[in-house]
Amino acid sequence: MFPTLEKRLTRREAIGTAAKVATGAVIAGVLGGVAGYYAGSTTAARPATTIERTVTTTVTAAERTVTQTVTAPATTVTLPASTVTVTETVAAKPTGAITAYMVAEPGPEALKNIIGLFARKTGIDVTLEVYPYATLQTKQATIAAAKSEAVDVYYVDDVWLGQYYESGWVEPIDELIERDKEEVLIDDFPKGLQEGNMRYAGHWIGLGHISAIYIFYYRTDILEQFGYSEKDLDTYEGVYEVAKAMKPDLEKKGMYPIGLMGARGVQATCCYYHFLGTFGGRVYDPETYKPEINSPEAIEALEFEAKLAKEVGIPSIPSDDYGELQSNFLTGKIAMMPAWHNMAPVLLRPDSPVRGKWRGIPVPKAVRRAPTLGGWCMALSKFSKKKDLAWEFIKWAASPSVCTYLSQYQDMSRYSSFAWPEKACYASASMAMLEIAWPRPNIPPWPAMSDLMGIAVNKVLAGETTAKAALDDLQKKYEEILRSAGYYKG
Amino acid sequence: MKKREAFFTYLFAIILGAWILIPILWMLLISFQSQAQIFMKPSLEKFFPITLENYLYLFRGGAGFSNAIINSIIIAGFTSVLATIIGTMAAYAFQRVPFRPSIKNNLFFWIVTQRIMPFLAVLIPYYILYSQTGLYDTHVGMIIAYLTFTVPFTVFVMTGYLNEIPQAIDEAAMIDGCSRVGVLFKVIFPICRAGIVVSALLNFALCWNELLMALILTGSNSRTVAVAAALFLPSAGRGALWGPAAAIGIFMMIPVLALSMIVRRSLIRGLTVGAIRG
Amino acid sequence: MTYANRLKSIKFNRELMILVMPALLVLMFTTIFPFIYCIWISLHNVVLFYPVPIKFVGLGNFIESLFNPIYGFWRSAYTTLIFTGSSLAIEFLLGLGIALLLNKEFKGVWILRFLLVIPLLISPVSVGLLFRLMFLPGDWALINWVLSSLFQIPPINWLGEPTLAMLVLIITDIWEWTPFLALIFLAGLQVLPPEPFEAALIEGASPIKIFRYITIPMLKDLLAIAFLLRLMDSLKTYDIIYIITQGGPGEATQTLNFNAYVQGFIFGNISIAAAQMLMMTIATILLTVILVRLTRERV
Repeated sequence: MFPTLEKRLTRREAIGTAAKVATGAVIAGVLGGVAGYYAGSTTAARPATTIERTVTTTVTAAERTVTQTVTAPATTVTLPASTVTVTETVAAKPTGAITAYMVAEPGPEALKNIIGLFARKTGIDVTLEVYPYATLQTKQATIAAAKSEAVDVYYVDDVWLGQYYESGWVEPIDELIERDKEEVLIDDFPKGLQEGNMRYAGHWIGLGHISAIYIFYYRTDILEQFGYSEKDLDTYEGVYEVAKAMKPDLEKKGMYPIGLMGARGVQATCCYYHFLGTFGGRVYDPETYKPEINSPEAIEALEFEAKLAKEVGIPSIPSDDYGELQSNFLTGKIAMMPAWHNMAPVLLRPDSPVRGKWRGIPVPKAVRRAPTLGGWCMALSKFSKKKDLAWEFIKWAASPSVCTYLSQYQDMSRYSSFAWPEKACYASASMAMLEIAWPRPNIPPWPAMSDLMGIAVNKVLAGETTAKAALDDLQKKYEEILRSAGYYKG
Repeated sequence: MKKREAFFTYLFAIILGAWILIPILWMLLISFQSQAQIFMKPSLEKFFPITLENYLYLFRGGAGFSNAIINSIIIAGFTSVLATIIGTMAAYAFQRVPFRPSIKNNLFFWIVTQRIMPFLAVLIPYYILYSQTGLYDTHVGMIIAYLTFTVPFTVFVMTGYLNEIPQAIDEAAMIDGCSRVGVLFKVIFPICRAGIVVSALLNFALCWNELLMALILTGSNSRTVAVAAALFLPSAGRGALWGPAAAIGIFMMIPVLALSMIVRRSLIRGLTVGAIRG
Repeated sequence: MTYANRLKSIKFNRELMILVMPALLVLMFTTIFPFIYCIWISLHNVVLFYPVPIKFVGLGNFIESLFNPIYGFWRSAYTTLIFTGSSLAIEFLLGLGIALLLNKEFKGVWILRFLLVIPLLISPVSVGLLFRLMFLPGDWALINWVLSSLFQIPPINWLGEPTLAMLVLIITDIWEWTPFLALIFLAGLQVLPPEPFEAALIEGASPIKIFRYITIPMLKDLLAIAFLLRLMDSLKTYDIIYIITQGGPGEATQTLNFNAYVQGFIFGNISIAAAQMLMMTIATILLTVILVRLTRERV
């Protein structure tokens, strides 16, 4: 028995060694290949010269006309690598270090590319950590609840403003804005955005960074094909008619007229919230906080959204989230969608299949236009020991030049950051919508209410329940939540 | 009979192999596709040309993946070794040595509850504890945190293996003049080699994959690779980054695969030696 | 035991205790303080996002969780039962079967043993995203594409239907964790002494009889322990739920642990969340005790 055992051992060992050598070779090969490609591509992507660009643009938004001339920092518009010429030559001695959190989205990730400029200019070393939405939410809440000084700059989603302020986690920056108003240029931020993203309870909380507003995207080539124009998309009735007319032919090609976001979560809430406002409804009365989520308008809004989804929508709507909706449009599966304007940069990329074939217009109206507002601001942690350094960073990261640079990757809050010619197909709509923004409630109980709304909407879109039943149930839950939080006294 | 048995054995082996390999091969495929290609229907265009942009994304600065992998190897490695040693000794103590039953039961119980408690419940106090004692964002801190669930795991598992070894073997060795500790190292360890190796490997894997604790208790210094991978989760401004997620999935396998290849030989050696011979 | 032997074992106890003590002390410190804090939170009314004066509410949170449906305790308990129950049962049986299979010495078995380790090495994030990508609705996603091209089935909306979404989660969990159980069982099979088997073979017993009367009883303790381990981990599952379904559609895949997460970190009711998790822990401990009592004759 032993001789055969030994033979098996050695054969196995031989195969084992061979496998190890093979794996080693593969690993070496992959690493070598990657290193080589990387080495090659770095030289290829960097352009020989960089150009100064001066961009002048005129913007009409609601009743105002704004003309601005912006000198964009010298860059090339090839994603993902870009170069920025350093014009400041001051090399300050290190004066401190701070930590800032941001959400893991294209804008903040691009900020990482140029963070060295800030260090060179001011000597402040910034540790910038980015996390996806839910991770950021949990981590920031944990750190703030522990009153830790580990983080100096928080990234605050507009719906978290109430929580962070009421919990005493952020420091209002009213005096700082007043003191540095030449640098901050507060009028460069749209009014709707100021109210919804940067202010709470009469105080300035942060400077707006990533912006997000609903606009309406449509495929110009497809609409032309069917003989329609933008005017037909001015109201949701019109949109519905156009979609119904296009549906049979589109289906033959495996496409659908409309896409929406219905996956349980913050997106489903935002999408329905848009319809809610469009049909004249609201979540609660701003004076008494009495919930009105099962009003006739609210029910009509949800029924209309369900009708759109069921009759002319892509079937995957109940499980479509941000990424899915964006890729649906990007890969040409849908012809129209009400969606965040910050989906646009991806649609504008050189390798985008729909490049040049779409436009962004103001959201259609029913009773009124109600573009859901989103977006983030940078706020000062109340427990930070380096508030002055942190404020320098906030000012810099929200400055016109940096925001204009970042808006190649993701749209920012300043008017001036829309100044790229490539953004012409949706910039004016976005700015107009930002002016009349339809902000969501940001009282502390809102995230709970938002999640419940997302669940209800998802159930209705999945056909599990009717709009009226879901909203009646939601109304009861809202009454309970607002009552126990001390807002609703009914 | 023999042939039929062999046939079914090979059949199930192939099914098992396919079940494990197919998602992995598919992940390998995705890691070489661009964002647009991922969403296409299978066709020539979908699979060619391949692109390395996902892997490049991993190395392009900012996310510190290479650091993360090193951190993970250090943390998971130390934890695994320490937990296996401590756990095996503790399991042996519980199993063999006649403590007073009440003490034994209590200790055993306490060890068990550590594993049951969801970390979610103790997230905030853990953070407070760690930031006050300076353990936040350190390798030592993570190792201690991970020991809290790997030691109970090892105790549990090794107790199971030790149960299979009759006391008679111990006593035989002691009659031969071995001390207790000697029994532990010279007789039990070799027999349980497979169990020890498996515990060590599983501990390593558990630490490698652990997400929640690493998320909260690390910053940028000791970030593990599981946290770094979490960057690819969907975020409100963009969808999930499928390509880079696949790339890091593949990439993470490599150092640990290499490790288990070394371990594999020990596993086999442990098997063929078998139980006591002579 | 003889006097001399007892002396030896007492000395050994002390040796062992000295060796293990420092580690145990550190562990105690890092586990007891958070545990006590958690109990404290569950007995008061702490809310994360708005400053409510903290007062002692005793068992109020526990009672609220049990009787007020808005906190979703029973609904998520039911969901957990389905998720953990199905995945655990299937993983257990599959794991045992795989271990038996890989215990045989046939050509190339080591390849399989090696492959078995792989699903454990990939980060849960990647696994979650991978399976989510496979099951996306749309006829280009892997599963739907295979179904439509091989069996002509129209694309199914896996993640949009409550039962199907749960199915996807269970499949993902099985893929990720069956190797874990299989490896534990395999090592257990390897450690078994061969004498009983040889004796039975000589007596002419069939493989099934050997399995029933020799293998299983000898592995009994290990099986119970592995089952408990996996049970405890499965109850704490969070990653794949978050990545694949976020608890949806509706609340169909919101297990106890995930529900507590939502209550605590999204709604801010960390006291309620702590209470729920403590109840879950107590229930699991009871289950563990019962199982241990049933299977272990000696401790």
